[in-house]
Amino acid sequence: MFSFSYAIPSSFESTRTRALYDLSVDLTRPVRFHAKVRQHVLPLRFALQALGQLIWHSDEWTTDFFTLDPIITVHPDRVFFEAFSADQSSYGLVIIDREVFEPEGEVRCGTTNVDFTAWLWAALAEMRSTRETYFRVGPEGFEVKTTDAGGRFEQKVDVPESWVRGLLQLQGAMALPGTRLSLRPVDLLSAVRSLSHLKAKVSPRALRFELEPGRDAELVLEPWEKRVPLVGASHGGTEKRVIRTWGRRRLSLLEPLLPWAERVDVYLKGRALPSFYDVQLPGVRFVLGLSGWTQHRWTEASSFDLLVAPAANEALLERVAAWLAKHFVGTTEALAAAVQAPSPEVTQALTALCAAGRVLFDVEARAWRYRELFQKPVDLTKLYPADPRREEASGYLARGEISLTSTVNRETTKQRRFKTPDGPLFREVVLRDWVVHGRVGPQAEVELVLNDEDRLIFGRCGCAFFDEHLMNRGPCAHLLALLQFAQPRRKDLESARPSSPDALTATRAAEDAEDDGDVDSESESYEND
Amino acid sequence: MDQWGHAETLEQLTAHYEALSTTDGTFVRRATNALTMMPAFAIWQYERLLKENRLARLLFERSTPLYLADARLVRELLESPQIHVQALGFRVLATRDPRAGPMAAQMIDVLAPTLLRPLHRRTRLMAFQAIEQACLADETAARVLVGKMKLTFALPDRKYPREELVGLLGRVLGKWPSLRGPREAPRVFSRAVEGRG
Repeated sequence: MFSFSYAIPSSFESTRTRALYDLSVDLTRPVRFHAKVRQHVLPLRFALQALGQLIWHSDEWTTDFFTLDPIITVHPDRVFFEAFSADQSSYGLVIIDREVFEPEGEVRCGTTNVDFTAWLWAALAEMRSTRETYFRVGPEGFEVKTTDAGGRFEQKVDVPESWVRGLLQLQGAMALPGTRLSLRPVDLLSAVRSLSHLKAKVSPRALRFELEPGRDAELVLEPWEKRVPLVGASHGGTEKRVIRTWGRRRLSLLEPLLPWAERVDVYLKGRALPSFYDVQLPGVRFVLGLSGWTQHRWTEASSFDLLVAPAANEALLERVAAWLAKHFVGTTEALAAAVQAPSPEVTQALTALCAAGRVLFDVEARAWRYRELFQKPVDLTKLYPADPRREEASGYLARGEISLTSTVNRETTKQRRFKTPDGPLFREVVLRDWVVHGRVGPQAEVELVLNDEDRLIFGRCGCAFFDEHLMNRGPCAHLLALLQFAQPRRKDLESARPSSPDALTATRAAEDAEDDGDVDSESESYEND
Repeated sequence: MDQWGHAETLEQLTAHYEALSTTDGTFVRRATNALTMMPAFAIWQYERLLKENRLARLLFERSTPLYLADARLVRELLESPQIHVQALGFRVLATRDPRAGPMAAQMIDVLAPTLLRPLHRRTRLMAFQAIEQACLADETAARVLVGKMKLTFALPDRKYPREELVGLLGRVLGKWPSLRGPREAPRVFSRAVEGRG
């Protein structure tokens, strides 16, 4: 349960020449930042509107809607807002250069929650570059309010642990190594528009980045195999790589920003892992993190954690945190030099701080920023409960007691017809289950099957845990170990190809019988990696 | 048809706005103030509104050139969240008036993104006219906008008025030959000179 105490609801005052956004902050974490917006008012408006859209877009039909109020952090070089959607699918970060503002009076740096209602979100449309715009973030100033403005209030939000874990994992995933692509905004906009014109009701529905050596990257929309060339998106790879990401519909959150953007940087962390889109507007950046999952999937305790709080040297942890609290931002190398510790240990300490919500990784500058997400430190043992099966699996992995016997792609092909604005499109869709056999510790015969989206759909093991529970209580330690060992070795292939003439004829003939025309024929084949 | 019983109020308001001075800028200031307070999606049937509402006709249609008196107010119109108010801004900048071109050239930061924004065809054509004014008035503005225009062809929108965009691009490149790329220089064919084969 998180509790916020606000002096007064946030408010907005506007006249013909002046607009004032008075953002009320949590009184227990007072941050003060009163400033006039000196330039780039419109980009700021669009970025904050996109953040509001991220928070409020999915509240309409759910009764158990909740959200943490957005977090604002004031640092000497930037001000940034963060929010995470209730369905755990999207993370938004608005970064505003301090040059955009002309501060008035004392600035008190720090992190706090702001009262950000849907009403205030709507009022953002009143921002104009022709009016003097002021932002007032802080608990002061409420004495001058009229009596109608409302008084002090407390807000208690019951946020599930899985949601908090999802937020920490997603923002922690920014620190994972990956691939960076620099795109023209129009290319991403082209993909987003295509997705708004086309609808796919069934898999495969991934967004596939194809990186071929010596050529600019390409974006492929499944299942239509529509290619969007990413002009100028060089990647420097020496062998062909394909990265599939999910959650593409949520890219529509960026659509209003892209016409105004100067550049978009995409950070791909790997197959089915989070991806980050950094839209750069004049003076303002909007970073959208797509989790690739929604609730009840990865964030379940029994699933795998991207960011398991690593064991770290407590004394070093505190030294690193203290240095960052003083300097606000630093690279791993700068921190290692400052606290006089080896870089790997400092990285481990920073990852632990990240997992606790005390530090944020800046994906563009590759630097760490001090940001206390929660007023009171979260209980990490509760948030990341010790899982004996996961620990046992990590043991097998660390001792090198895992070997792969075989990995086989089991292909299922289906003839499908897709509606497009240009008429029906016939495709042979290839769904690949990945069958992995291996040896884990004492178990000589362990088998698992992952579907196209990396979900574990079948497992077999000879251990007592599996004998007793099968998969009812999740996979056993051996299956977990084999999965962790094998997963990075999976390679993506194309997911659809043009239908053969025979299949096309058969599909068309069956259309008369089946209204939907979805599945005409199905066949299976096996292909070794 | 007075569906909401507001006919009398509308008449009074229209008379009030009509009485405001157009020479000292009072009318456009007050009109812009009223228009830009309108939230997004406030108008559902623009044609019907114009047909039935005299005040809307006055603010949206009858006074278009008057807004050119103040560039700041035109920018207010363009930055409004209401699309019909934005469209009024485009029409103001598209007016055949010597003040419109230089004014449009000052507003390319707002006009350029309209090339990529999702707009109805009619609104986009109005935006094209405003962009044309900006391009023809100022070469620097034209340089920025030509780059954006060329990018626009990458969009998959089937109803995008590409022919009109090509026409616009041609007129701008005709006005400023220095902006032409190597493949955009016109080929001039003439009769072969005798003796040269």
